[in-house]
Amino acid sequence: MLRGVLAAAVTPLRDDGAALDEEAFGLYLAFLAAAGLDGILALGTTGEGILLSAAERRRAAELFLDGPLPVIVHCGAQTTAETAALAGHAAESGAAGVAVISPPYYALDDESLLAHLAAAAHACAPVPFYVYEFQARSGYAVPLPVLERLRELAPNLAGLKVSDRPLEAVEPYLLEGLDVFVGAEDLVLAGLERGSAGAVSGLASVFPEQVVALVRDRAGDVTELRRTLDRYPFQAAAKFVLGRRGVPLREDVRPPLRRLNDEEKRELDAWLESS
Amino acid sequence: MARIVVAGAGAIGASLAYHLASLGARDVVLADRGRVARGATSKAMGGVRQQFSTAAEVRLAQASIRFFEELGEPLFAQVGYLFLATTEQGLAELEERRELQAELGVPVERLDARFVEGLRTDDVLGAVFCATDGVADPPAVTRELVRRALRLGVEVREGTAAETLEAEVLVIACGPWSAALGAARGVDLPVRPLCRQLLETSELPQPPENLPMVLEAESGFHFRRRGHRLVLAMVDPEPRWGFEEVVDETLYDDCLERLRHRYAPAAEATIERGWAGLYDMTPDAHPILGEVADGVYAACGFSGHGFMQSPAVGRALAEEILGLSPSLDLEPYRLERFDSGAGFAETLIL
Repeated sequence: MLRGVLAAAVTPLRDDGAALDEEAFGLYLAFLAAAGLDGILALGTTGEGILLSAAERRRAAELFLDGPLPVIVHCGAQTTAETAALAGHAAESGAAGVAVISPPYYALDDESLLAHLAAAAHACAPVPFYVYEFQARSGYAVPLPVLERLRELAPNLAGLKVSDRPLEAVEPYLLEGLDVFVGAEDLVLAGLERGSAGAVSGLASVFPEQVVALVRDRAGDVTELRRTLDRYPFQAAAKFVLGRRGVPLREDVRPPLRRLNDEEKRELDAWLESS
Repeated sequence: MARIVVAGAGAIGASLAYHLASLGARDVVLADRGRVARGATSKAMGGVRQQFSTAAEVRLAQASIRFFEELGEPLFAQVGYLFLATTEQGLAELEERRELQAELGVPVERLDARFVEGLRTDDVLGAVFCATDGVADPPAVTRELVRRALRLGVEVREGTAAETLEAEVLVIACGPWSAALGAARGVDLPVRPLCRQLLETSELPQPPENLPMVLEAESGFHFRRRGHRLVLAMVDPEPRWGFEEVVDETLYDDCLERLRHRYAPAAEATIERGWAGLYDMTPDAHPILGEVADGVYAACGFSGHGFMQSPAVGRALAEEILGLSPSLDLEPYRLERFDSGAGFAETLIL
C-alpha cells in the first residue's frame, strides 16, 4: 500500500521526442530509488503520458515497472476505451496502482465522469485505483458525489492524487478511508497534518532527496527549487537539470512541448552552480 | 515489549496487526513478500455470513459481523444471505443448521424467498435468511485496516519476506503459502492450496442495492451484487489442488445457466471475466490458530472463510499473543487437533 514520497517521473525520450529512450530508463530509475523514494507515478503530467501513443504508453509502463520502485501508472486518456485498455495493461504488468485524470477538453457531467472512472477502475481491479484530480489541467474538478458513488461501484478505489491548490481546494478531498497524495510541494506538509498519505511530486523527479527530506524529516525548503524550475517549460527543464546532475538523460521532449533554448540553459547552469 | 512480525498482509495479517496495535503492542511489523491485499484476499468473494454448521464457527462469525457493522458502508453492505433448498434433504439440512444458529442467537429465519424480486422460486421448497449477514470487498477492508494499523504505529513492509526480519514473535498469516514458512521454522502446518474461481457478469440494467447473497444449498452455486455486476461462484466438479491459479472457462456455461435460471434480471447477462485464487485448506476445513512453536504463531488454513472471520480471529489471537484472555475460545483451532484425530467437520464449505 503506497505511502510517503512518490516522484512524478519524467519519461526518457530521444529523436527530438519522437521515440522512447529505452536505454535511459534503468539508470534514471536507479537514481530515483537511491534517493529513498517510496515509489513513482509514471506517465503523468511530468511524464508526458498524454502526449504518447497508446503503444508507447504500454511500453513505457513496462520499462518503469522493470525498475526497483513500486509504480502507479497514469492511464488517463481522452476516451474511456483507451483509458480502460491502458489500465488493464498496467494491472497485468504489475503496477502497484493505476491513476486516471478526468479527460480534458469536454466538461463531463457527473454521470459521464462516473462511468469513465468506473470503467477504468474495473479494468484494473483488484489493483488499487487512484483518481488524479488536477482541475487546472483537466478543466473541471471531480465532484465529491462522483467519488462517493465511485467508491460503491469500484471497491478498488484506493485514493487520489490531488494536484490542486491552494490548500482549501485540497481539503475536501481528504476523505476518510482514501489515501490522498498531494501534488503541490508547498502543501505537502499541511496535507500530512490533515491525514494525507504522502506526496506525488514533480519536483521529486529531479530533486528526490530534497522532497524525501521534506516529507520524512520535515527538513529543508523546496520552494526555491520549485519556483526556479517553474520559470521554464517544466518537462524540458527537469530533463536538462537531471542531465546536469549526472543522470544520462536526453533533453528531448515530445512536441508541442519544447526543449530549453540556449539562454534558458545558461541561466539554469548559473543557478545550479550558485546553489 | 517483544517485536512481533506478522507475515502476510492479507485480510488476516492486517486484522491481526491492527488489533495488536490497538491493544497496545508498540513494536509490530506487518510484512509481505508482495503487496497489501494482493494475494488470496484480492481474489475473494467477500461474503460475510453467520450461517455455519458448528457452534465454534458461528461464534467466530457473530463476533466478526459486529466488526463489519462498525465498518459500515461502503465497506460492508448488510444485505443478508439467502439459502435456497430445492430438495427435501437439502431443506432438512438447512433447517437443522438454522436451529443450531438460532440457539446461538443468529437472527436466521425461514421465509418465502419471493421477497427477492426476480428470483425464481417455483422449484424452491424452502429458504432461510439471515438479514445481518452481508457482503464486503476484501481488499478495500484490508487496506482500511492497514490504514488504521499505520495510524497506530504499525510498520508495514511490502516486498519483504518476514523471515528476513528479526522477530521475537512471528505470526504466520500467509494463507496458502503458510506451510512453507512453517517448514522453515520446523513446523508442519497441514495447509494445502486449492484453486477456486469466481466469475463476473456483464453490467445489469438496475441490480437492486439490497440484493442478498443468494445460495443454492444443494449445488453450492451462489451469487452477489458488486456494483452493477454479479459475481458468481460454485464448487468445482473436481477439486483442483495446487498453487496454479488457472481459470477453467469450460465451467462458464453451467454457471451462467444456473444464474439465468435462478435470477430473471440476469437473463441477458454474459460472463465478462473470471479469475482464480487459492483457498488455504486444512484437513477439516478449519483454521489453525495459536502458538505452534516457541515464539511462532499460526493464523492460517481458513479454507475459504478467512476474510469473513478475520476481524474476530485477528482480535482473539492478538489478545492471546499479548497474554490477555482471548475474547473467543481458540481451543477448537489448535494445531494439535490433527495429532489426536480430533478434527471436526465443517460441512458448509462454499
